[in-house]
Amino acid sequence: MQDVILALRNIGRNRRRSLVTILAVALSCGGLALFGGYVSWAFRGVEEQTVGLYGHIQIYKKGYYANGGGDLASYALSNYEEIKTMLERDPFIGPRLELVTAQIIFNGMVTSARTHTSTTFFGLGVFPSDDERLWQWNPYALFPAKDLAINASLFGGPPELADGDLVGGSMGTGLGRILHLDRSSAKTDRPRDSSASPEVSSPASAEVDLPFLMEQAETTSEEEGGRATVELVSMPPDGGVPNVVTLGVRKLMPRATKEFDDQLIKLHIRHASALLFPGQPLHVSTVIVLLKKTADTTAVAQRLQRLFDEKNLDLEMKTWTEIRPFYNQIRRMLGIIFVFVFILLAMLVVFTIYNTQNAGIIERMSELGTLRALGVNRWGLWKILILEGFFLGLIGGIAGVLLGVAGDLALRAMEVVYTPPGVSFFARVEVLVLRNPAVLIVAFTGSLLCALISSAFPARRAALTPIVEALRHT
Amino acid sequence: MPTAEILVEATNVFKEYRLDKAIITALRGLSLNIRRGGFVVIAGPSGSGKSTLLNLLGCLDHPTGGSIRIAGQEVAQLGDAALSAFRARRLGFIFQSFNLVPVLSAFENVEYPLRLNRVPRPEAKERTMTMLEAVGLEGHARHRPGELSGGQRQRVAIARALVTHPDLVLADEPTANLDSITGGRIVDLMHAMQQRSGTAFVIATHDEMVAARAHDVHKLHDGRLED
Repeated sequence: MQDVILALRNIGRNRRRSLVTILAVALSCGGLALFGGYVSWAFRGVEEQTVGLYGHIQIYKKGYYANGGGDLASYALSNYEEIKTMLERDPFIGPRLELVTAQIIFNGMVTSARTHTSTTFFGLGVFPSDDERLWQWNPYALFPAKDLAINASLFGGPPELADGDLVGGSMGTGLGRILHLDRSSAKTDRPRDSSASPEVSSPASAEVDLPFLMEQAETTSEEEGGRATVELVSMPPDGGVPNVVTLGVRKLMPRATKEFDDQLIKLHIRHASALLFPGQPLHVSTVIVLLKKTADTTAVAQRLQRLFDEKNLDLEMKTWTEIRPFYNQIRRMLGIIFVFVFILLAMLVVFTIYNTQNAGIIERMSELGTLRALGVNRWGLWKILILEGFFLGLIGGIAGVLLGVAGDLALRAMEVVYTPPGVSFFARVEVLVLRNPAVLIVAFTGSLLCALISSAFPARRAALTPIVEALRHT
Repeated sequence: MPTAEILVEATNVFKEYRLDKAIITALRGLSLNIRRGGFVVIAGPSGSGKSTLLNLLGCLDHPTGGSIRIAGQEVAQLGDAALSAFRARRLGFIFQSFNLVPVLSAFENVEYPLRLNRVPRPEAKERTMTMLEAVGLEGHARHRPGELSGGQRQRVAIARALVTHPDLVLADEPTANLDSITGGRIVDLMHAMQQRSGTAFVIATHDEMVAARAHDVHKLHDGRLED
């Protein structure tokens, strides 16, 4: 207890120097906690975004992932419901499932008879409500993008797809422009019925007059209830005469990249199946498995593989990190940056405390010699000096934790938004400090360890100084 | 001197220092016995080896030759931990510059050696207050050294040196930083405390007033005791 009192009072001895040291520790600890919180948010955000697009595991007919994209006749699955039932009934996989759904991915030609335009498109058939659930998967309770006021024009209005609207779909704003389904295109000489314009969501390219389109879309739905239609043409995978279906364009949605924006059409999976496999039961290209916890991915994938092998199923699968190695790459990159920042801040703390301790010890050398003369042994003296460093780290670390928490709350209050890579909507920047206390623990423990390490060397030197030499210091 | 009365037995003690490439010999085969309860002065001019001798007797330094036995213990054989414990239990120190711990109050400074010796808190408190009363500072127990005069600080140092009831107190120029009146009072106090406690005092000084109160005066010159 005497040692603790001595250490604490010695910290208070040179208040200015101790304050600067504590401030340096606090800023380093707080900064590390905030950066750790940001990295944690980025990891989780990318995970949610990626899983929201691809699910945790995708199941295909064997060979589809490598070379089946252009040969749906060979690689489409006609037994989606059986696969889904098998997964749901499996005692290991079933309880871990959040959702099993399917997609069909294909290419074709889209034509607008009204505007006399046509182009190729990239089709994505989904179950509308399942697609919504997949997209809204948010196990980490990150702030949902659709709840941001700035995204209201994007996510407001009718949904892209609806379970009951089998022939309705959405397309990229770029594709809408190519097909002259928006106002800017109407400036051309093409004949156009404005009442037939679909809903358009922002943010979109500069060429689109969004306020006008929104107004027009509202007028259309409220007063006339009509919508533009296009014809989708696709060659059946097994050959024969091209098939045509009509798609009612419910909404123009901006897509993250120009390629997708100019090409993507999202539609009900049954409508897509009817286009590709007319008169046949539902065909899908991919079964998507969404789990309750990402941590179960590997175990479920292993169980799935055993099922495929045991039942001799002609299926293969990929996990979300195999489909999108980008996640692991960004995780590694941010991990390296975090370690780099940690080392930088640790060095700052170590040198600041080392400097403070060193100066304090040199000033008090005679006093330390007196303590040794009174009977404090080397270990006892080392302990007293280490305790001083420990308390500097402890006080600074606690202040740093409070700074980190304050930074988290301040950022929430400020509602900073940005457009994450790979998406077309705004997201709120968050730092997961309070929701991921591990970053606080790492920052706090790191500060404390740095304080102890930086105190150890000056303390050792003081403890090893001969008593008579220490007493001679003035 | 009967063996039972001998507290300190220094035999043929040498102490050499290395200063760059030169070797300085501070003590040259010094032999000295100090009896229990003695009030001994080591006198001599500056550089004669007084402080060196005190450092060796106080187990703060090791001789380069010879042996020193204190209370029957050959101190050169003790390691750092044992030597520290020996100092805490058996020795007391009074320094020229008082050497109080500035962040501790007068009470805490006096109590500190008792805490080192793991004396129970209530007993330590009682003994500390008794000692502060003995040196006339019971009213200044809560004062920190910075709030005390030079004489008061040296009184605290005397109380600190004696609170553990040591066998031997070593005082290095205890009056050098005090005016003559205060210095005289400090010498009186040390003498009175020595009489009261029976603790042996070894005082290094060239203050004639201190030497006049001593039982024995040993004069040092160039690292040797004069006959």
